[in-house]
Amino acid sequence: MRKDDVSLDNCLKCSDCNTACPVVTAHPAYPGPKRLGPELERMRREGIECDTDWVEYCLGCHRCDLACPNEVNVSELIARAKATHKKTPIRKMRDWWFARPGLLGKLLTIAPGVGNFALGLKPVRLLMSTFMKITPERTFPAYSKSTLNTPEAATAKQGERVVFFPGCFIKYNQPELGCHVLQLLQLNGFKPEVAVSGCCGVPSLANGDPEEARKRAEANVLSMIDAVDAGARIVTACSSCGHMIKTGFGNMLEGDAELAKKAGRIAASTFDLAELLVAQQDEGKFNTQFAPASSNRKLAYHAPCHQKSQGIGRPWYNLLQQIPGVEMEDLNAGCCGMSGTYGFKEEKYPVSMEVGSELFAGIRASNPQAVVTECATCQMQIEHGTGVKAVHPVDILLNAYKPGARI
Amino acid sequence: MEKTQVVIIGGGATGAGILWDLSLRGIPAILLEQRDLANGATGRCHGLLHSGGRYVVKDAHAAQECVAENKIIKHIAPHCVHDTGGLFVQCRQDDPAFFEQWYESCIKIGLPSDRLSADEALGMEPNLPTDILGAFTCPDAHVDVFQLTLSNIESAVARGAQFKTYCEVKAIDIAGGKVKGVRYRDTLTGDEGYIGCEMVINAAGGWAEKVAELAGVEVPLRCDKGTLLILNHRLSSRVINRCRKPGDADILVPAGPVCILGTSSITVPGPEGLTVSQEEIQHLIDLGTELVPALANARVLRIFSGVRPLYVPKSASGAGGREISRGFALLDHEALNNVKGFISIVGGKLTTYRMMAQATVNLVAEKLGVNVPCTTHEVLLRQAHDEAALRKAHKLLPLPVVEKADKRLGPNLAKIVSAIEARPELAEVICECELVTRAELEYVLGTETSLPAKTIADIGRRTRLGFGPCQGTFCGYKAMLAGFQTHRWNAAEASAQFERYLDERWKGQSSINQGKQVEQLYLSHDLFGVAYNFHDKKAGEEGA
Amino acid sequence: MTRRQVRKVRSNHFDLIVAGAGIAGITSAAAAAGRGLRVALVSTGPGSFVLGAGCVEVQNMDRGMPSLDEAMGFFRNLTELAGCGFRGGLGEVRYIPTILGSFQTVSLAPFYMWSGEPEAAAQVAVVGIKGLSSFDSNFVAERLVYHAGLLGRGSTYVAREIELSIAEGTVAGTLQFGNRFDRDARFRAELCDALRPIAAKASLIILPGILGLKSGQEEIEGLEKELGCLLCELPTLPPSVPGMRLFNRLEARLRRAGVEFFTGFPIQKLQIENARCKGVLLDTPARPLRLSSESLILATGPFSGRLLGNHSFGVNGDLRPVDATGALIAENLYAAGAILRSSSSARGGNAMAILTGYAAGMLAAGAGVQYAQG
Repeated sequence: MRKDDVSLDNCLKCSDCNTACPVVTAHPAYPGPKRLGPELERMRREGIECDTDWVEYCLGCHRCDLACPNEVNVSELIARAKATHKKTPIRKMRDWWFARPGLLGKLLTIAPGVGNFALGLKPVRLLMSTFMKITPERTFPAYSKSTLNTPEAATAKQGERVVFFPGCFIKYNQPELGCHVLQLLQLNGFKPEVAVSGCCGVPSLANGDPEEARKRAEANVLSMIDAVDAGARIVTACSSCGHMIKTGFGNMLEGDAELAKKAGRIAASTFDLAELLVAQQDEGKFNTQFAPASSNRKLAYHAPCHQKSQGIGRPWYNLLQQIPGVEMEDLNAGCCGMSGTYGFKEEKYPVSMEVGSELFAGIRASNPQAVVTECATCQMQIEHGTGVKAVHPVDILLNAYKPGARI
Repeated sequence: MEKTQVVIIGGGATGAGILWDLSLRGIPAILLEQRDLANGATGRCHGLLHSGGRYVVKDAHAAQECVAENKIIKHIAPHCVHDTGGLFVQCRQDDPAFFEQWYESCIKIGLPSDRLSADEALGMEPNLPTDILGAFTCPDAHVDVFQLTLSNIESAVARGAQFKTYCEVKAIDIAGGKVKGVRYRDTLTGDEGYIGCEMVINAAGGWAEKVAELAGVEVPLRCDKGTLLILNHRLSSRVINRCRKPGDADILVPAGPVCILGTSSITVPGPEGLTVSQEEIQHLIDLGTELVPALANARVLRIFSGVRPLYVPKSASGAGGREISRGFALLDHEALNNVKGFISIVGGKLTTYRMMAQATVNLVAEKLGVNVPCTTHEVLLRQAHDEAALRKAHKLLPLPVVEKADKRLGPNLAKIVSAIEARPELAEVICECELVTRAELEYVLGTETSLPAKTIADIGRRTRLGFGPCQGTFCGYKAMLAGFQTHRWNAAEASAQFERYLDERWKGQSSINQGKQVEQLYLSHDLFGVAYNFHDKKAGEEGA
Repeated sequence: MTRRQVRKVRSNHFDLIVAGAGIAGITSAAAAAGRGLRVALVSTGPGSFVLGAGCVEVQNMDRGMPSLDEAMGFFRNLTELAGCGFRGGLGEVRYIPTILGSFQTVSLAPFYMWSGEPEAAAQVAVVGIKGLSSFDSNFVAERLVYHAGLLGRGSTYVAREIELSIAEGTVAGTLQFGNRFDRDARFRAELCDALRPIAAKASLIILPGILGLKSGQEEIEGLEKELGCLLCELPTLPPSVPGMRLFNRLEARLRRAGVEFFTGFPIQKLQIENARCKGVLLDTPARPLRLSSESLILATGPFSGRLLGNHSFGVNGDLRPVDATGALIAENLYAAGAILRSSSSARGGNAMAILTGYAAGMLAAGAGVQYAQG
């Protein structure tokens, strides 16, 4: 029997998933994961027409899966419904683009100055609102020509080979962050390369385009398999990319046995950056040559939903605690509500902000100097909702080392 | 004292079909049913609308009846039928000579069937065993047994017939060798009643022998028990049959969102007090897994048994249950036993209920001098649905909820639409497993329907409430409140109703000893056994 | 917010792993953490918190059982620290209403239910909410009158109904109201205003569970004070809002106490070698996550057979599972809660969970608690 058949049969209708769902909590009209997932799935198999616009409102945060006591793969059942969901023409066209951040990134980094300027213009945003239902409330992240390259062989130290999968955001919007990742890896005994990669496919799935996600998965698997089979580990600094490589590639490619096996090998060798550093720490190889603290810094950590869904504990939270002068609180205040492209959509914007309101309140109550989170869109949402600066943990850690720090 | 021309005893498909046929021919009648509709074999079978394929080799006559009635039922009751189509699967372990014999027999009697290669069959039904040799198609379908029975009765009542549930016949009044009337007792209220009539039709299925005794005649029956398993979700889109001599667990029928596997064949003393052993259950699962391997891990929701009442006239041999013909017998007790006005209709199967009703009513009409021919093969059981109401419903309710409600209610959808327009909270889905709204709940409990629900289980039969994975755990309580709010029950009665309902729901799950339903039952016990200080005596008993 | 102590330990190594976040697991993790152990709590789901409210019945237990007093006291204190203080004690018995209009006999119950006992000559208002399909105040009031009569109590129960605003396109629901109670001050004010006229004429209001999933003593006692009337909040059909509130509060309390949570991944297997449990493998994406520990408490509920190889097991006098021959399955492995339940009856389940959870937590911490199986 297919794995998801077993998963469907496991549901005991306890409603734990509904209790954990951030959209249910913020938006009472949302039918909830229990209904959109296992309940309607039985109906779909009966041949009953079940399509509803509500499936678009699923954040894809996986909190339902984590809350379920019975191993029902709730979010996957909803994702499958998303794949056959019929959208309005505007949403269809808009979401086609949102499903392809790699393509968008390539186009917008041809002349990033022009693109950034245009995306900041009010009339342009109003047009985008009218014709694409992209909310003018949001600021688009700046695009930047990629300066992210594998460090040259001459400067690369000896060290374990790792392949850094940057993801679209780092590639096209935050290439310096990508460079920092490489530096951090080098400082901790690794010899990093930058993967030749396209989009991991999460936005494709989220926007109801599994065929595009499948293409992304195949392309990435084929480009990374050789390195993995040669013993290299893959490292991600974006939790959504990490989540997708660990869980999604295999699902997308299950129709092709060979590719699925390759995807499995890649998943087994993929590590979140913090996960990797913690493993180094266990072997006594973590670089702790921190500069002494000039003053105490009050920080607050927000674990992205796709980090929680990887089941790796709280490695960034634990690592950063070791930096002198750092005082860090784990906000644990729910989903930020951005969910990648979701928060840009005009019809989803109010839900996005309502979902994040609990986190915003938690941040205000904590009053930190900065919020630390490894997801780029969480960063965007936090800055948009609170005005507090949001920083990737890589930057906190990297800046903590004293000059000349070496393993 | 009540008076009518014909009293029918037995509210299964046959009795319901007779009521409808009588109403079409203008013969006033009252149908008495000791429990709720379809309590006997009708409500305890696969719900398979036979193509005839099952009988085509051994009993061509029965198969031909099925071929004809299959088309007729699909024509007169499309709202009760899900025309899934069926397959007769050629399993590797079965006799290839039988496959060919089967196919040729189909051709001979005009049962439409196509040959499929193994690949084609697996393409249509991926859950079949990968090593099958091929398959044949056939026009098998699923019929909702409760909706079918309900439709016949509702349509008859609309034409002036009457239907009484929970009315047990206590005596058949015969004077001078002629039927005078029927004495009955309402088992819910305790009230007694008498109906004066000219004719009594014994359509009591498994109880036909008992009823016949009330008239002082013998109708020998063999009760043959069949056990069925309900699986949580559809494992196939079509009816799956095994292409071999009929045996146990060789049919899997998609039935609404669930599917039903069966069945067995064990002689039992009567239609009540049926029990199911673990061996019987395992036997069904083992055999079913040969036909659909996914069954091994599928969640069994419920186990139930029904009895096939087989007419065993003195001339029959001691052959086993399956070998007695599935044909029916119409017994004119005036000719047989000198009891004028008493007729029994026994045997048969769900697929031929209309034909059985036709034969019965032809005889009744003849005896009463009514010269109207049967038209039940033509007249639709339900008027076309209300387009305006459907459009309004789409504005008020999500797609799947509307589709389900429309299928069940047809023209009565308008009633729940106006109810929701007046009180928007009635749009709430109360049974989430089967998508039943609060409006529909109040409708079946209320006075606007001709067949009101008198117990929570009755609600289930009319709406499928409680038929899903939670087996009434979450919706049963709300259904109880709906009965209280519509003044069907006062608070004490409502509480007692709920206790009885939980008992009945739990009973059908307690034989399941593996799979997720065990945990579901445990949750149900925990919820009501402890959290609500309810039923602790049951929660304390092992395997109650 | 105190700065967390950073200990130089192997990552994912703990003094104790508790498996299961039901009442037993939460209690055992709290007990052990209270003794200074570094605890990891591994779970899928909140156990029976989603079904009920955590009320404790002890009538069927031997009051003289060692540690029962201590365990109940510990649990009461824990709930107090969590902001969902339980009232009552071993010597007490109260009759708390249920949504079936019957009475549950409990010895401990959360403060928002404890007032529910019918007192002589009390005027009790059973308050329903218009449109709420899961609670009917007329039904509950009528049945309470009946059951109170059987108990010989003289309280008057009257049914009332309030109307609360609902989001557009929705129907009234306890989860919706519970979430809005947490997030929306205007909703709380609306609720208070709606209850005020009823509170003026009653000494107690019985209402369905809607008073928040994150709320605590401050919010609910605050409401009681505003109204000048006691409240008894009943858990309705799952998800039980009061039950989830208790769970969320206890979880937050345990996090503050330093317990590390690994939520949402089932245990693939227990790693037992030479009768010693080394840790667990969690079924996490891509690779199992290995957590190691010095000891382990299994509080995973009644369907945990798979974890112990599907062999039936008993427990010895200090809650350590033994196999059919009576040999310890692992010397550092304990069991607590419904996993120990021998019959299908769940009566007194919470009491058993608290007692065994506390005892297991203390035993794992080497605190020499005396426990004997009841």
